[in-house]
Order: sequence, then C-alpha cells, then structure tokens
Amino acid sequence: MSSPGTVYLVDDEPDLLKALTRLLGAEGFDVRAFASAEEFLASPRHEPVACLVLDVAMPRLDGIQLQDRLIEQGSLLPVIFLTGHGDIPMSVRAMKSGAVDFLTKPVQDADFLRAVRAALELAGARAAENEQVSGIQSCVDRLTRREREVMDLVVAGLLSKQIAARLGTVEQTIKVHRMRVMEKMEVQSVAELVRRVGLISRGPGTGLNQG
Amino acid sequence: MSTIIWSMIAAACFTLAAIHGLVWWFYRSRRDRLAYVFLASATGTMALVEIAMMTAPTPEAFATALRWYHVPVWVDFLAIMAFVRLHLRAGRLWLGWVAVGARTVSLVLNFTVGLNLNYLSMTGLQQVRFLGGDVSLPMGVPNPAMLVGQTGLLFLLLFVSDAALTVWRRGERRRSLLAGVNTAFFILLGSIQTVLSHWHVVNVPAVASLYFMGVILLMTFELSWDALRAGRLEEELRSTKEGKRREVAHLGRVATLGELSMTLAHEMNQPLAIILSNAQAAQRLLAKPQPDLPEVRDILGDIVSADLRAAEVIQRMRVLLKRGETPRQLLDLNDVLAEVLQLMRGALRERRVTLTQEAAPALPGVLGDRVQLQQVFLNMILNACEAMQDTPPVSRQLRVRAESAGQEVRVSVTDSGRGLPPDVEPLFEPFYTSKDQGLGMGLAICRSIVSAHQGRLRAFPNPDGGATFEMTLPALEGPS
Repeated sequence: MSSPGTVYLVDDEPDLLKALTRLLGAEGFDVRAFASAEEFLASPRHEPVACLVLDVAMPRLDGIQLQDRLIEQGSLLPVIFLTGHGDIPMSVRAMKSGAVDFLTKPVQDADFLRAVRAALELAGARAAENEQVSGIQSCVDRLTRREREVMDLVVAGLLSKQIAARLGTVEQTIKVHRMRVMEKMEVQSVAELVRRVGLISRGPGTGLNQG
Repeated sequence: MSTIIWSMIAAACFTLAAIHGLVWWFYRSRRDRLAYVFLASATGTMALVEIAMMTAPTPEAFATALRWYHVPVWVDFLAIMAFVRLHLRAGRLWLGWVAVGARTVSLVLNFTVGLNLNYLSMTGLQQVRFLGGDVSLPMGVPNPAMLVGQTGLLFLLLFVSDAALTVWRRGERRRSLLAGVNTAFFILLGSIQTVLSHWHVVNVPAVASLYFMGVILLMTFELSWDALRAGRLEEELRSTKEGKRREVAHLGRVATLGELSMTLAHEMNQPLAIILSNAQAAQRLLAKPQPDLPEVRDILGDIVSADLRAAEVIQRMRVLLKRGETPRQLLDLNDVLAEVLQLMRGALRERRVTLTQEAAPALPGVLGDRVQLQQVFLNMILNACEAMQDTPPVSRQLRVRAESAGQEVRVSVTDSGRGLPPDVEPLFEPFYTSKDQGLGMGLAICRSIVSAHQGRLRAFPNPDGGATFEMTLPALEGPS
C-alpha cells in the first residue's frame, strides 16, 4: 500500500509526539516528528504531498508564529493546529491564516485522522495543480522573448494582423511565431492556450513545499 | 513540735513572698502581687515572733516580743486592704481606712501605753501543753487599748466581707470565694481566737500567723489561677494568630493556584492527550491481522507513565491546597524547587519563558514547611513570569538558582522583566499589586512565611534590567 502522504508533527511534548506518531503510523502515514518549530524550519523537506500538525503553545517560536513564517515563505503546506486549550481568538486567527483545522487536545483519533486526510487531500490537489503550473511554466520558459510577446497579445484576444501592427512587423511573421507558441505550449487551440496561461498567471509561481 | 510547725509556716511564707516578688519584678503592673508579697513576708515575720513568744523564758522577753509582733500585724492589715482593692477591685475604701487607721492608732498605743498593746503589766508566764509541747502563755493585766486594735480587726473583717459580697454580685464567684470570703473567714477565726486568748478566756497561744497563712494559701491559689488563665489566654491568642497566619497562607496558595489554574488544567490535559492517543493507536494496531505486539507493549508502558505524571500533578495540587501546616522537616531546597518547577512547566511554556536552573550539587539542609516553601517559590516564579509579560518572548529569561552561602541557603529567582519600583518595600505589603488580577497578598504572605522560618525575602534590581527576588534560610549543618 502506497503512503497516503507525509505528516510533519511539531510538538514540544515528546511523549505526545510519540503517541501521535504511533497513531498516524498505524494508519500508514509517513510521519516526521519535530520537537520544536525551529527544528522543523531547519530541516529540508522534499515530500511532494505533506501536511503539518502543529502544537500552538511552544516556547520561543510558537505554532501561530511558525504558520506566519511559512506563509511569508510562500509555503502552501496545509496546517492543522493542536492546542491544549483552544481559545477562540487564536483559532480564528489560525483559520484566517489558512489553517485546515484547529483541534483541541486530547484529540479523538477519528477527528485527528479525518483532519489529516483532509489536509493531505488538499496538499495532493495543490501538488497536482502545482505540477501542472510548473509544467506550463516550463513550456513558457522555452519561449523566446518575441514568442512570449506574441502569446500575451494572442491571449489578450488580438488578431494576427493587429499583433503585427502593434509589434511593427508583417502578419506572416506573427503567424509563424503563433505556430511556434502553440507548439511549445503544447496546445491545439487558442482557447486551450488562454486556459493554460490563465493558470500560471493566477498561480503562485513557486513550488509546493519550498518554504 | 509547735516550733517546727511555726518555722515551716515562716519558711513557706517567705518562699511564697520570694516567688511572687520575683513575678512582680517582671510584671510591675501587677501591684496586687506586691501587696501579696508584703502580706506573706509580714506573716512569715509574725510566725517567727510567735516562736519567740511561745518559747519566751521570761515575762519581759514575752512582752518585748509581743510589742514587736504588732508591727507585722499592721503590715498585714495594710497588705490585705491593698490586695483586696487591687486584686478584687472592690471594698469600700472608708472601711479599709478605718481598719488601717485603728490599727495604726493601736500600733502607736502598743509602743506608748503599758508593756504592749495587750498587757499593761505582766505577772508571769504559764506553761501549757500545745500541739504536744510546752508553750509559754502570758499572765498579767490586759491593756484596754487592745480594744482599738480589735476594732481595727472588726473593720477589716467588714471591709473584706463587703468586698467579697461585691465581687460575688459581680458574678466572679470563684474570685469572691478564694480571695474575699476566705480572707474574711480566716480573719474572723483569727480574731475570735486572739481575742479569746488575750482576754484569757481560753488558754491557747495567740497564733494569728496560722490564720494569715490560710489567707495567703488561698490567695496563692487565686493568683496562680490567674497566672494559669493568663497563660491559657496567651496560648489561645497565639494559636489564634498562628491559625490566622496559616489560614492566610492557605488562602494565598488557593489564590496562587487559581492564577495557575489554566496552566494546571493544561498540565493535566497533556498526559490525558498522551494517554488517549496512545490508547487509540494501540486499538488500531490490535485491529490489524498481525498486530505489532512489542509496539503495543511500549504503548502501554507510555500510558502508565503518562498516567503517573497526571497523578503526580494532582498530588502536588492537593498538597498545596491542603489546609493547615505540615510539620517542619529537614528539606533539600533543590527538591522543593524541582517540585515547584515540575508544576510550573506548563505555565512557563505557555508564557514562553526560558528557564535556566542552577542547582548547587550538595545544598545544606534547611528546616522548613515543605508546602509553605513551595508556595513561596511558586509565588516568586509566578511573579517573575508576570513581570516579563511585556518582554518579547525571545528575551523572557528566568533564572532559578539555589546555592549555599555561609550559614545560609539562598534561592534566587531572576527575571528579565520590567524591573522594580525604586522603593521595593511596598511590594511586600498586603494588597500591593501590579497585576490586573490577583489579591496582592502573594509577597506579603511569602515574607511572613519566610520570616516564620527565620529567613529573609528581599528584592533588588538587576544591573542589566529585570529583578531578582532572593530568599535566604538558615542552613542546618552539612549537605542534606
């Protein structure tokens, strides 16, 4: 059975860390446990599909601060918070910052596992999307500067004639550029090209888990 | 035989006078005791003079002794009057003064008219059997001036009886009986006996000291009763004060734990979370076709230790919430500190305070109340945490240090917080608080606890900001 994904656990309570690792391990998840936020930040992470289970109250860097740090770094890692005493302002803040769930300790295994699965699903979707985005991005990267200009104007809805006028060249040349663009972007139609370019311009442009 | 008895009476009187004289010396305000001392000394002197009379070889010797006998009798009159007035706070003054006045007049007559107050002339001595021995009894012409003295005796009797009645009516029946009625009774007995003997109605020696001795003994009982009662009252007062101190200390602990309650809930929650997740992991492992039994065994071990940890937190809280005092015992302050820090682990984490603990390897023992000292440390550490509320988390440094310093053991708690006001003494006063919540009793209670341990609790600013609270206790010899 292939792993449903990797779960990063950060909690300064080693015994709880161990217990949660066992629980997740019993369900077949890959678990990487960290005793502090700093330790987590310092370790390299390359797992494609992963989520983060984070204890709120920790000395020095706490859970909420770690989440802020990850957001600053552009990470898309889904975060589940665990707290000893969930107070409302804290949970609201965490959820606004994009936390997947906010659970209180002691946590029921069913709730915990449901949250972890949801987070990993989100991570998977994000990873897939990201993969697609990076695929498109690599196509875009293959374009020459001229081809890029032409593509942007095509996507903006201009006809070849108009593009030629805009760029100060003849329509025939633009048509050649257009063909190359369609080839390099691996699309059959303008409509498809518009969709693909739309994905990257909306996307964050950075890889997942590169935080 | 009578010589021996009378010597013993004299000795008893002088001893009692000496003891109560000493008591009076230390409690000068008790002037009734001084009256008692005079009464006892004079009565002792009377007993000695009575021996001289009983063994007088010639009528002249007897007459001289009897003349001097009236001096201590006069002193006794004054002393009884003073005692009744001072101790019973009763008695009509005029009755007393008539008695003393008559006695003073008779004392003058004693030295001016006839041989003495009782005899104008003496014809001889007769030997009579008294208490298994021969004693001298005078023969001669009675002095009518004796009537003045006996009038004094009558008025003294009236004065004392009146005082006894007043005291009885006041409701102080025991006091009235012991110091009033008893005195009146013995004066009455003594009067009857001496009057009858001096007017030669009966042939027994006039032995007034015996009756005064009776007065003295019951007065002694009364005074000792007072002393006992005073002692008991003092004990009661002291135990009330001690009880109050204990009660306040207990309230302080309750308040401190109240402040800590969130943290303690967290501290309890943590092991519960560990137990739950472990147990559920084990359930999941056991549901598999081939359960990993060694792993389940490890899990059960961890569940047990988490459970014990929770139990320990409850135990510590229960100890701190307990009323009353635990006995003083030999303590290693390192242990006491460790217990407090264990309880505060959550509080420190939650407040994001970094703890540095410097424990001296071998600390001399101290004699103390474990719970109360825990309370002191709890407060010191909690205060330090609160002082660092506005300090950025990275620089919230708490240093707890236990060390031996000469004849003392010192525990200091250093924070990097907002520091101290220029005058630190008000910090230790009741109801001083810099917190939004809290009674402001913490440090006041702590100082009273530390003082009760013969120690000191002080606060001073650190050179690089923040404050240090330092507690010193006298060390018992050697590392515990």
